[in-house]
Amino acid sequence: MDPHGETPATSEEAAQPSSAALLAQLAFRPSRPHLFIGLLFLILGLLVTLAIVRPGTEEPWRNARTEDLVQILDDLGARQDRLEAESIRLAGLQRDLEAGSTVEAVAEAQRRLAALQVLTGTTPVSGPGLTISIADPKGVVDAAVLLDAVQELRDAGAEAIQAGSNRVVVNTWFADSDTGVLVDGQPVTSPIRLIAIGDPDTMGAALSIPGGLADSVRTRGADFEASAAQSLSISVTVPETTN
Amino acid sequence: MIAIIGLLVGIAIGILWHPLVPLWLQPYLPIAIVAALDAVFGGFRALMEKRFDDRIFVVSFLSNVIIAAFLVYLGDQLGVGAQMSTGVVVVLAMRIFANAAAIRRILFRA
Repeated sequence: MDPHGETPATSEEAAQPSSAALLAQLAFRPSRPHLFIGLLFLILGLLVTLAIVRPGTEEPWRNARTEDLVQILDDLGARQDRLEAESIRLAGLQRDLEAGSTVEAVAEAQRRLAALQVLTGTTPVSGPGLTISIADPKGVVDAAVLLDAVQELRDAGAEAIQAGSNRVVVNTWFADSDTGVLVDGQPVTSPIRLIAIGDPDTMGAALSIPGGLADSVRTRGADFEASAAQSLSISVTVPETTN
Repeated sequence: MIAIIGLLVGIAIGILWHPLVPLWLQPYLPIAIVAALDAVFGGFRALMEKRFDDRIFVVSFLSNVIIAAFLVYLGDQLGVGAQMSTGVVVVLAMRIFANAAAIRRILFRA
């Protein structure tokens, strides 16, 4: 209650019969009703601040739109479903293994061994896949393109890849040199041949999307060709190392 | 004077301590504020007209808040919570405007 601050001019104030009373009201007179009124105003100030300064503005969802929230919820639900399925599968595996049959344990170990051998490139692989041939007489294809190719093939589910005469494994490297692209230190000559074992349709689609590998190779002026085959084999292996 | 100090202390507590408003209380918070503001303006007007009374102010402040909250609660129970809130706010806002007009007439004679 501060009427004094709102009175416009001193002359006006003097003309008001109530101004003296108003000033008197402003005086500091601690009496019981005044304290009570002060308490009420305290509550009012508290309420106003509580209503204006909302707690929890640090939570990003508070201001998110409903559609976004629904999307997030859906994502979380799908993720939970996936994880639950994985959890059930692993629990079943654990039960089987604990059931004590060594046959199953051995089978499981063999399965993992085979998968790891394919992954590390220590065993020949055969199956459906894709043969890619990049005719590059002008030498415009560099290491980055080949690396992109390998990555796109892996993303598309390639189990094993051969580049030139080298098996592409986890520590394979690509480099540019005067004689062309080096794969693990060996030059690959045009036409560059890539063999990928995996689902041919998926890999083919991945390579031929706009802006994908086929596009970028052709933009550079080289020739790109991919052909699917139901049975391909990669016989090149890398020696097993132990460390 | 004490009222101003109380207001400032209340704001300070609200900002510094930041108590969490219980969820069931949150719909009533804006209504309570508007009702309290109505009582404050009413009290201010009475002050201007030199018929301010501590007791009336305290009682009207509390009863305003309680009745407004009760009306909103009733509206919620009847399934017309939103409309009831709007109605209460409109009525209180009209009263605030009427009081503000009276205050203005006394203060500025206009």
